[in-house]
Amino acid sequence: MRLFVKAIQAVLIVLAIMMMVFLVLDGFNPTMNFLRNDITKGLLWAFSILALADGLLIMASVINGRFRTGKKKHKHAAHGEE
Amino acid sequence: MLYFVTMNHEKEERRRKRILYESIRTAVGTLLLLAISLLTFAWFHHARPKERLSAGLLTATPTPVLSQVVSKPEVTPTPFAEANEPPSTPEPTPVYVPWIEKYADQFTESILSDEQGYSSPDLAVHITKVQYGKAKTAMYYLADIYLTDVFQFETVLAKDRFGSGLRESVKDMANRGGALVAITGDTYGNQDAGIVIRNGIVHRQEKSTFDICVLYYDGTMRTFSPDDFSLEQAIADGAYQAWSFGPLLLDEQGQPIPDEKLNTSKNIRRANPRAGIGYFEPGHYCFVVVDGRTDDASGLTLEQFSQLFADLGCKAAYNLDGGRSAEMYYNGSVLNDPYKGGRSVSDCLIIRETFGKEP
Repeated sequence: MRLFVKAIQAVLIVLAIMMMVFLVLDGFNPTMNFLRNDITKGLLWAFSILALADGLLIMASVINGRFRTGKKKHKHAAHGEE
Repeated sequence: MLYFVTMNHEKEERRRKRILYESIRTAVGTLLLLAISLLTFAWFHHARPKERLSAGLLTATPTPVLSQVVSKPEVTPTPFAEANEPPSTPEPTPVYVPWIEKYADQFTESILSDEQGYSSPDLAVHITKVQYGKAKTAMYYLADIYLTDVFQFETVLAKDRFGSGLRESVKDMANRGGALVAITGDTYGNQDAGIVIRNGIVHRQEKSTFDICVLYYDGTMRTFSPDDFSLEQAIADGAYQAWSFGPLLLDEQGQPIPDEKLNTSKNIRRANPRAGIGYFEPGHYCFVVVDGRTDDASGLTLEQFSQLFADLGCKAAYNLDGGRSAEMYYNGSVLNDPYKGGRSVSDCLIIRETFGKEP
């Protein structure tokens, strides 16, 4: 799972840099159509889906972590600890 | 105690090294992945030679009008009863003057050719080199062109095929097309959309956001913003060539267009090497190429380029692919000094001699 998350994050970084590169290039040379072509549209879809997946995974891990912390606190309270 | 402290310190050091190693490995891996991704994108986006399906529509029956319309007012006798009425403007009657007669003073009986130009019984080209820039070493080149037949004005596609990623140098295309003069085209192959009509054949019908320039069989040339352009109308009017790059450089009155109204991005409007085409009247055109991106001269801004065509007296003008692509060919060699030696492009405009050659 860790490897999977790591791979998603690496791909997200690559896609984000690619999008920034396309934006800069489009500013210099709009005739090359770096932004409105089918490949970039596909990459943008991949970027969005992966960003969504990564966001959900982070959210899930945060919620999971909070529950774990809650459980621990609950355990400690049951043992009479502060 | 000291032993445990040293052990902990070593452990911490090892952990730090591991983190550093892991970070470097991840960064290198990500950069490698980025490089591979960008190269793959470039290959599939524009580098891979790929023939595209041409729409293959003929714009019109190619019957060129080798003439120039001149408006001659007809004088009709005024009846006595209407003598006191304000005179009405007489309807001009078109009189067709063949280009060969209209520009007769430009043509010569035999072929004369040197660095300054070329003239023959049916074609004349005057080459002017104009110095500009701080050190007066930078040049722009003007080819003033007089034709007797619109078919002397042609376009050549790289590898003689319609597609993307197909590239050739202007010189090679010009040589193959038998050109006397040639200039970089609109590099249609880098775009997925944009009207492409070449030598009377519609290759691409989808409009892009770029301005369009149309040369008709009757020799007139008009420039359009994408909103004002209709392909059906252009076909009906006898479009012979159409380019999608731009922007258009002169308004309908032949006046220069201010910087903020030019239909292109800020980066394109900056000083750059330029290539463009100007239209005076049917049969009379000019090609202009401006060198730039050197220590002596940075090139012209699009606004300056627009002003240049207005100063030349053009009625319409259109910007073609510039930057490193801007090249002008004349009589066997490249005239200008393209930035970094120029680059191969997907098309060019040529002027061809037809005298003494089979049609």
